[in-house]
Formats: sequence, C-alpha cells, structure tokens
Amino acid sequence: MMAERGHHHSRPPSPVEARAAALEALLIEKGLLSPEFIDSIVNAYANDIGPMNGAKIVARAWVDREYRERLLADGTAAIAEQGFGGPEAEHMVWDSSAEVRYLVLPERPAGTEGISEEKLANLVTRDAMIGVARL
Amino acid sequence: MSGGVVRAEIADMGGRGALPRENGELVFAAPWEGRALGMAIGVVQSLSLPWDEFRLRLIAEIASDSERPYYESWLAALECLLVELCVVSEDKRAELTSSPPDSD
Repeated sequence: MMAERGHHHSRPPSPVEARAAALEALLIEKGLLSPEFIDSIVNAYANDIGPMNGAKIVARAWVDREYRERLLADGTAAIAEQGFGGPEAEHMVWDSSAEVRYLVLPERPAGTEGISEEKLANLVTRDAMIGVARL
Repeated sequence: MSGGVVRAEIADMGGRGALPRENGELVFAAPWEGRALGMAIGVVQSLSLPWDEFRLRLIAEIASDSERPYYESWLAALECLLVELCVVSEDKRAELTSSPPDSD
C-alpha cells in the first residue's frame, strides 16, 4: 500500500535508511525541500498511481452478481457503496467485452491554452483515459 | 508549489529506470524508499531541471551495479546529481555514505 513515514522504535535504522534520512535532513537544512513538500510528492505517487480503486470495484462486480447489477444500473451509487467517493462526477459503467474497447476523452485541464500538443500529451495519464482521474 | 501531481514522464519511465510496480501501483520495500523517491522528484522540481538529469544518472547507477536494489541505485543517483550541481560537497557525500549520522 502507500508509503508512510516509518517509525521503527525497536531497532536502529539500516545504513541505507540512515543515509536517506541524513540526505533528507541536509536538503531540508539547505532550504531546497520541506518535509511537507516531500510528503505531498510521496503521497501523490503512492496513492494516485495504479488501478487499485477501480480494480476493487471490478473484482467486486465479478464475484457478486447483485453488486454487478447495481453497478451497471447506477455506477455512482454502487461505487460510493464501496467507500470510494466520486469527485463530484457521475460514474457511468459499461459492461465491456473482448470485442469492445473504451477510451475516455478527459476534460482538457484549465490553463493549458497555448501548450503544444506534445506537452499536452505528457499531461494525460492512463487513469484519465479510463475515466477515473481528472487532469 | 505543490508536489502532489504525478508527472507521466516519471510515473511511466520505461526500460531500466522504470519504477518498480505491483499491480500497477508503486512498491516500496521500506518507508525510506518512498522518501528517496520524493526527494529526487522534489529536487528536480525545485531546481526546475529536466527529469532526464536524474533519469540518466539513475540508469547509469543501475548499470554500474545491477545486483543493487532499485532504490539504493536511486539514492546513489540523487547523491551524484546533488554533488554535480554543487548542492552537496564531495566531503559531505563521503560523510553521508560512509556511516550513519550520530543519533542523539
């Protein structure tokens, strides 16, 4: 799961762990980074990458026929039922098959006028193209 | 500036530098590995460097010792970058890599 700041009171840090901690302290001392800034990066990369939320919904639908029916009838409610709050969006769920592939065309992020097509492409994530992340 | 936005050029790095994943998610064997990830991305962002400045050093570190765990190469690449940018002195790096700092 996500990386949390570890506190292992019962044992001394390993050499590499101590080395990473010393480097972090140094970068903070130099004013290059703050602990909060590092936290925000770690949290984003640990939590916003990967299909886990969507995967859990899919797996539930595979194993629970009634849930699958609710999911197809009202995706927003069925996803909320699993504890995943949808960010002010309606969730539309399609029953996919081997013959059909879906691509979600994400909303273009605000403030990206005048950005080159190549740079725009770098903004697009896999999660945005499957409709589970907003850019 | 917030660091809370995943950059595709980092998340989707291919080849030898590719971030270790399991079922799509990043995997960290210990919390320090996550901190090392955050530090390198943070340094590159803070100094407005192209990601390749770090990525190419990471690939070189992995190539120099393919048995070494990924995030140890990552940490070495970050130290190398910081020394070359004169953010960290050679002496300081030697101190960091030789022994754990004194604990209080």
